[in-house]
Amino acid sequence: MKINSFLERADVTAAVPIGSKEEILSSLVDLLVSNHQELKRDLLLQVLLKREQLRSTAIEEGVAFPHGRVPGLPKLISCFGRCRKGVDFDSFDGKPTRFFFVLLIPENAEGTHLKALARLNRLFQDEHFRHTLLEAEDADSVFDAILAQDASC
Amino acid sequence: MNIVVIGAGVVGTDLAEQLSTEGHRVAVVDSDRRKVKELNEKLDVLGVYGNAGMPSILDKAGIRAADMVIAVTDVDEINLVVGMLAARLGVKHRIVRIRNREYTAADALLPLGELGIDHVINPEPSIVQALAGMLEYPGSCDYATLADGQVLMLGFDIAEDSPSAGKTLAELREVGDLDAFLFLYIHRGDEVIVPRGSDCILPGDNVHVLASADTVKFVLPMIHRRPVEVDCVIISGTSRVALKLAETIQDRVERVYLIEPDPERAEEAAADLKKVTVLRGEPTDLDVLEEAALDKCDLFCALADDDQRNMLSALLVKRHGRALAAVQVHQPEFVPVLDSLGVEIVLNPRLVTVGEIMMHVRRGHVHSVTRLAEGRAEILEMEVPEGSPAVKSKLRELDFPKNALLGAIVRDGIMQIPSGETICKPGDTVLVFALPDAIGRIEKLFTRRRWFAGS
Repeated sequence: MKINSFLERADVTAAVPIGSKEEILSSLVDLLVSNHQELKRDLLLQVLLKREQLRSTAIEEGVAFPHGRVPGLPKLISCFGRCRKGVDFDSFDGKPTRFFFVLLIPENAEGTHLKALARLNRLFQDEHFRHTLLEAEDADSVFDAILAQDASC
Repeated sequence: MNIVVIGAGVVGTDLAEQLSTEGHRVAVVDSDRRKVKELNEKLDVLGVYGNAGMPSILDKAGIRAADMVIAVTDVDEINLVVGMLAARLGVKHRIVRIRNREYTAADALLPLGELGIDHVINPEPSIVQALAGMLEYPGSCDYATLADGQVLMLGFDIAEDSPSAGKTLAELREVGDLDAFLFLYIHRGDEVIVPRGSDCILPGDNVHVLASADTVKFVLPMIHRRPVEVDCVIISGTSRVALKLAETIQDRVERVYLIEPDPERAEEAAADLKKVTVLRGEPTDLDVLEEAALDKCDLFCALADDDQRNMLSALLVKRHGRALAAVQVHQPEFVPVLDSLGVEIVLNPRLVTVGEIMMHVRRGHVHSVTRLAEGRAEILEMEVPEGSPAVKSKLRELDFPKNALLGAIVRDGIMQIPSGETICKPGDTVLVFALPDAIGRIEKLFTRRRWFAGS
């Protein structure tokens, strides 16, 4: 499952503000809502926060995959944000979190989102790729780096 | 079925008991008169005393009317001869345990298929795979792959500070549905619990989880507060399992030590395993263990062929180190002792062997049988056949036994957690967790009726 099938250039930001879990997720949801007017801000935020409450989706090496199932969503929608400084997102390995890949999953997705998560997880295991993302100048070059990595592995 | 089991060792006895409980007609042959007598007294099976390599003895056990022969004596050669004789006598299914690789290798001098042996059982590869898997998912104490690797089964001990501790299954299910994992059962004290929504996970529980290989990364943080690191491993023994494990992990783990008392075997191991530090000495000698950096050891694997040596060395390690311990024992009586010593991982070739054999006994399209909780439960991996009751109605409308759980469906290579509304499709792979009393009904649900009985 290729990432360009569910991530659009407009849904990428290289300037996630430093803040609490809720503030970070809010800023990412705001980005999504500004590009996809049909999305309901409060619902998205609630879905993502509920999942985070059970356990943080920040797994390791500065990468988090906030995700949740959204009623009424027609297809898989995602956004990506980078926070160069890194924030405390209650990650599994205790390291600060710098990359946020948000996945919004339709209610009857039948598991296709698992393939997306698996693919993302594989991409982000590459240390060199994480470094490139961190160094990228702006949102455009972040998106280009993701596409390049997506094409190469 | 009429089944003849050759060898009344631990595996043979276990099988005989399981098979007779499930209603098969079972005969057991052994050359130890005392064991045969014991079997005749204890189980509802026909015990036959004699050398199973002789056709006359096999005749006494009713081999000509048998549907299946299972040869599990300790001697590969006897098992081989039994398999060959059974083939000549027209027994339909011939299952033979062979441990020596010289017989089983792809380029073996005697191809077993040509000798009429259709199923060779060897638990060792599964045990090595399980141990290597536990290293890949540190903090797990059981591991098996199912459905061609799409699904992992992992076992965990729940610590006081585990994020799952104190949560109900219903709460965890919300995450599980999304991330494709499922709590299969809870082993609490002496009890095996098939959990329902209101049940709570408690510190001290041992839980088993089914997880999609794609998203297993999300499961570990639900179980542990922080990742468990394994940088230093000590292996005791030069059994085939020990050597294979050392070879498998030497590139992945920073430091691997191997302890072997026999000078020649130690030397051979050192020559073969370039990245492993081989020490000659007794694993029950604290000085030797300390030389193997016991204080830094994260995982100790007692894999010698001698149960007692394994237990003693684990006892020392538990007392003087902080390592997790994995201990291989053949004798079932030792398992509770290991539990009381605080040994986290008990490796049981007997359970693996019985599981691999039961796969051939179960009805329907069964791909694998994983025996759990000391053989008190199993996971059946089955392909759903066209025309079986399971494809005809929603799960909640099926007459699904209480002591069983449809854990996962693998459809088009994707693992799904079923709900009451799910309907199985022909060709799906299903993973069903079942306690023994539920197995018969599970088999019926996933088998196509081939005939219409009068009543």
